[in-house]
Amino acid sequence: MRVLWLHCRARSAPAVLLGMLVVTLLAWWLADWLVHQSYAQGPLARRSVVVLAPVLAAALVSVSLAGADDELERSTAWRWRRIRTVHVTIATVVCSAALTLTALWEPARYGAYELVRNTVACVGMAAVAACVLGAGLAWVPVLGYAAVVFVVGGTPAPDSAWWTWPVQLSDVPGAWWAAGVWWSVGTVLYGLLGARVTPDRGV
Amino acid sequence: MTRLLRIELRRSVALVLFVATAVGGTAMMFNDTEQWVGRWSGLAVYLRTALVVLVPIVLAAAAWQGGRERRRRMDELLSTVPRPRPQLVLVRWGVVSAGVVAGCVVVWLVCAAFVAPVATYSGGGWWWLTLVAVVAVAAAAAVGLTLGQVLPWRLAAPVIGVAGYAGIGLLSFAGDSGRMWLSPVLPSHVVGEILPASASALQAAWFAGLGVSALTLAGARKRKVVAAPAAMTLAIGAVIVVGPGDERWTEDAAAAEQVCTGDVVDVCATRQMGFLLDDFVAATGETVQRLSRVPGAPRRILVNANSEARWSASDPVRIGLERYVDWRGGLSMTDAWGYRLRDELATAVLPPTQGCADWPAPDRDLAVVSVVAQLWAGATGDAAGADAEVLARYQRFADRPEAAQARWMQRYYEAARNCDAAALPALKRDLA
Repeated sequence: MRVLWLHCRARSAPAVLLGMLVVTLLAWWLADWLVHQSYAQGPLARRSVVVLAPVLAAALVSVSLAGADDELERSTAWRWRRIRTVHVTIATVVCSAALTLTALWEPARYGAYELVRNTVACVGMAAVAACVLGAGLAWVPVLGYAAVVFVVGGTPAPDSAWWTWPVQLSDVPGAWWAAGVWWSVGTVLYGLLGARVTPDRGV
Repeated sequence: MTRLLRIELRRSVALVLFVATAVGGTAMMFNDTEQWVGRWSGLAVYLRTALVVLVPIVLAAAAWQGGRERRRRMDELLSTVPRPRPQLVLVRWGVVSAGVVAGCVVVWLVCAAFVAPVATYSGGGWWWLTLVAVVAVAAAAAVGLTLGQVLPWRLAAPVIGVAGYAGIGLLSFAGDSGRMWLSPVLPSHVVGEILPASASALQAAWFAGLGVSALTLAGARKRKVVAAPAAMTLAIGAVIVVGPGDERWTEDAAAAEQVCTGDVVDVCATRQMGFLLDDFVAATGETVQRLSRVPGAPRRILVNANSEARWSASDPVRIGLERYVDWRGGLSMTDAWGYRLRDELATAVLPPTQGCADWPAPDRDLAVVSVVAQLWAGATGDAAGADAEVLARYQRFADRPEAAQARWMQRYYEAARNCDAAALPALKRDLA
């Protein structure tokens, strides 16, 4: 238990959980506010929440993808591959569960289903980015990609789901497949390689 | 100083920001070309719309830049160097601002290359709107740098970026109030409207004040120095908030002036949309020629941007062309949803009969009269709802001499305008 707590503390888990609580409350408030605007199209008005909240969740998770000194950590006799894989899996489950609670009303129309899908995909993308750019910059591709798709994607056709998954509705299988692929690739890569060690230290 | 600038340019996010702004901004602009192509004021307004994404990107990148020294654990070391702190802050801000402003200039130049060859109206005070965009992104760079420097969080950059996006969204789209002018985005613009220079000057002062306050906070040794610029900025913000919302837009009379063909059926366009007039006349010439032979048919057609544009009350036939503008500033025959321009024109030039209580649209037997009239006005068979039998009947009608067609259409216009359903059986009989 003590080792588990030390690992969580080294990866800023308490701060990440606190951040996740703030993101969840903000997502719930923003979704409620958007739905009650005079120009809102019912549950579909939550489109921006469905894109932004998972991005913030993934950014929070990215903080925990590296410790204060990764090189030192890796020199210890622990099964780091297994620990890293379990770490990403638990982080995905916790974030998805938290965001799901904010959109149980009309879950299939920019609601809980899309939040789960996008959280899974964004965490996977952040894990891939952590391996390539380092944990400090892992949020950049996630935020950049989501922003571009959100603006350019418009009302996308289902056959473009492989790249417009952040703005697709939950009944498009291609978007779920894309999310699954991102998460699988991210988890496997991060599990095998860990976050890239960069010169940036601390906050 | 030049050496310092060169080093910052190489080591900062300026080049990345330049590429991100240029590529992201251009992608956004070309995602919705019908909003601006052929119109200088449209370009300026849509560039301001693109700031809804560009400003959060600038905020996030600048915040990342602002936290650089802390991440590299160089902040204490740098605080011991003799170079004045304000100079370091200004150099950093100058380089980041130069990157993002250069990116915006690239976006503008690329888009201007598509506007300049076709634009027929260069007024509308668009340069003021563009200038405010430049001030806004420079201010965003200052605010981002300062927040990144002040907030000791690992996730300061993405949080500031997303908060900036949410803040702009809340200010811009939270209804008609003065608050909307605190945002760099112009959400409620209607084609044919102009923003007075005083409103743009007020916005520029607000963003400049934000930038100066942020830089003072970042560069001054004593934080209370920021009180003066912050108070000034808050005062400007208060003036904006208590002022009008949408009412700041006024009609651009020069843009609404009409350019006309001067034919029997006078096809006119507002000066702003005049670049489409020749294409429109060429595309709809057959219908216009037919109308000119029918006494009682409309004698004037006005084309404008869209249904929200400001129209003159005396224009009987109005066609919104914005949906049909292609990315080079030409006229496309179909819009993105597959609707056809000729169908829209046919509906517009015929008298509306929806308000006629006795007009027997559901009566298929008599509805053939309306369908034939629509086909005559240029509608396609699908849009008019014509089956093979009606099409054959229309073909026989179209084979008649032009004068006979014109007489029948004259009677149709009279009947439709007066909601005279009793005239329909005779009109149908004459089709046989």
